[in-house]
Amino acid sequence: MDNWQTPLALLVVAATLGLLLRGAWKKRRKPGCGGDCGCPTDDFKAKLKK
Amino acid sequence: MTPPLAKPAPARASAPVYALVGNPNCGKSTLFNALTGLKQKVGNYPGVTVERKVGTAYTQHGHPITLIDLPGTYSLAARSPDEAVTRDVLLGRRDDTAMPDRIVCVVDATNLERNLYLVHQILDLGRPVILVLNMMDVAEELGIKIHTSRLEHILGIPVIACAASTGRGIIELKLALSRPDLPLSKHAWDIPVAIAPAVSELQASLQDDDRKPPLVARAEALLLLTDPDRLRVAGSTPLSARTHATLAQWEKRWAAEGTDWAGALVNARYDSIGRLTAEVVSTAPTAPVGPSTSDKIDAWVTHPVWGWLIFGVLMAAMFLSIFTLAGIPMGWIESLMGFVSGHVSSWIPPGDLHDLVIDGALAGVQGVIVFLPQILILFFFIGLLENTGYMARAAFIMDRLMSKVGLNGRSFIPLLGSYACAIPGIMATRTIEQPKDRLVTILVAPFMSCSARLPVYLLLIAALVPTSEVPVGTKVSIMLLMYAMGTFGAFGFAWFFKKTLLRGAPPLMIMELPPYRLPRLRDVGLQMLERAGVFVKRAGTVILGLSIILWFLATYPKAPEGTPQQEALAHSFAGRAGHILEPAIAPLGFDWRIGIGLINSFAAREVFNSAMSVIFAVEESNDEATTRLHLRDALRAAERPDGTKLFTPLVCLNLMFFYVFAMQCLSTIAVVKRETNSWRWPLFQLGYMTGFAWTLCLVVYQVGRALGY
Repeated sequence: MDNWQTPLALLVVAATLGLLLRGAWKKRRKPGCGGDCGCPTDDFKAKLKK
Repeated sequence: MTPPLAKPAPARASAPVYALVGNPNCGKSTLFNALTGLKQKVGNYPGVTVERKVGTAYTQHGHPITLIDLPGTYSLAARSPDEAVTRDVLLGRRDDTAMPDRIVCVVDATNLERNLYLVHQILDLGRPVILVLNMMDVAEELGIKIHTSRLEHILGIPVIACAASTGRGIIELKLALSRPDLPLSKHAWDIPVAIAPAVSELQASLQDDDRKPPLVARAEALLLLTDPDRLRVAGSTPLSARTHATLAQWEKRWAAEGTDWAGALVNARYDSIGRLTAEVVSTAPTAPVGPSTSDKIDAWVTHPVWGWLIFGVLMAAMFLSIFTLAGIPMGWIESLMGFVSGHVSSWIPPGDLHDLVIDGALAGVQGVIVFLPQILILFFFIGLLENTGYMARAAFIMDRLMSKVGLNGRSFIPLLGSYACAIPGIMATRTIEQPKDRLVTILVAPFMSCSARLPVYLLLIAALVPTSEVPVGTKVSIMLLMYAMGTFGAFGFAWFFKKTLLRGAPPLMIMELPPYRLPRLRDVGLQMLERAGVFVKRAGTVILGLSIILWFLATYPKAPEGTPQQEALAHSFAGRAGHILEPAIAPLGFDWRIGIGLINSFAAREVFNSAMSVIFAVEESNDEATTRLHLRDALRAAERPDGTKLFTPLVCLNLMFFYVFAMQCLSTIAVVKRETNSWRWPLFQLGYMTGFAWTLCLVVYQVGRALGY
């Protein structure tokens, strides 16, 4: 009974692909590590000093 | 002698713009963060890869003021792109950034005389200045007393004693920033008589043709006579032809007379600074004499032999902790993921959505998130070493090695940063003065085993050496071997590039060793949690997304009903891509399933784990297995079509070697392109690194097989 599951799964895949591409495009326009790499961001360094 | 100026600057109707300037490591950025908090924007100066940090602070009455954190520099005579940007902004040479209305000079109170050189040049500009004496707590511990009120009286500007790391002086600084009537400096000093005519002529040219305000023109004239503008960066307004001609004419005249006018000017400035510091700085009689505690520790830590031993022991202790302390929390995470999988599995009936969630999303994320405890331990130790001041010593030790390969010790900080991630490491190369040294550092930085490789190493080590049978020391040794191979690979290629493509003279390095201090565990803990948060966020976003995509690629197009699972996987998009790659990687001992993992690793290296999770979960799920094997057990059980093991010890080791040396990160390639302003170097980097990895792994596998492994 996976008739409803297949289109839903494909929808999830399409949405995921869209979000990943959107994220990659945003990074292209705003270059930098964006904090994804695990280095402490400037926002965080500010928190340390509070 | 120039006449003193004491007239206060007129109050401005709109919020003023302050520039924060100072020597590197004076605590300027700590101060900037303390004043602006989270209200910061980080970008780039147009045309040049130098970070532009602008933030908003508030006066005591709640009015916003703009702060620009300029790159650290020792003087306005620029030696690197960062320093050139600071010079250009202060002199009003950039069209994209207006000359700041006011300047906050931050100095290290423990080394006032050296720090005052930049302040002395800035006071020449005739702009309102606030002087911040930072690290006063450290100065007081060292018995250094600075008479701030005397200094304030002599210079005629506000002088704030501050310790930004503890918050001392921040309120007084905010009050000073709030003043609408900030006085101009009474600063004056004697220029050598022989140089005065040149200063006047250059000043006139800068005022008339370059349209500079009188005092800025004079300050720039003095700067041009000591540093004739050799370093220019994109976005910097060029000087007029008349200014260049005037400067050239005086240079020629003094060269003919044999006068070192630049040296005379610098000496005159230092004489002025020396007289000033003699008046305002005194050292307490109880101040310690002889080597400090830090010096005594450094006698061992920077010793040519003991230093390396200590470094090796610390690294071994760090990796030993990773393998011994993380076992229990890893088990918790696996149990939690199993619990979640079991519950979700009971909510969704069998079908594509069920498989997507269990075998795609959850399996993919688990493949990465299970290594969170080890990541935490690694960053805890790195944070501890940074916080105590040891990392600067590590850079010092490394400089001995790096100078042998033609690299500046300054390259060590970017390379050290690359152990977390190559992207900030590559961006940190902006402080390297020589373009060739900078390029070499960029080209070799990805060899440093980044944190994204760690889950891959840990998985393959677990597959290679079963926990119960092998001492933990073996695992530590393998891990250390991977890090050492990457490091020595970087040095080896740096030597090669410096001898061939990017030949250049070995540079000098002068660096400060900060005093040792007890680690602030709160800061280390917060930093560790911050990095954990970023790691989990990445697992929950990028890794999750890629795992879902990979599940789709590994499931569709579906094979006809009744097809054996291996064939069904081979029939899918991922399987076909893996099979296309297989002829190129088969001589390395890798098959098409590993090929799928290698392809996916270009998005993020740790996705290899997710890919293996998805591939082996997909293979298992249709067998209606009631229990899921741990991924490492699944790898160890995986077989080739002929029934032999896929992940033999030789293949596991070879795969790790591949991950050490291959260039597998699209984000890094994009950043290299941006930093080098061309596709040539990132493509070269991709080619040479991946080519070397392939060749090395080919040799290792073929020799290993010939020896019977």
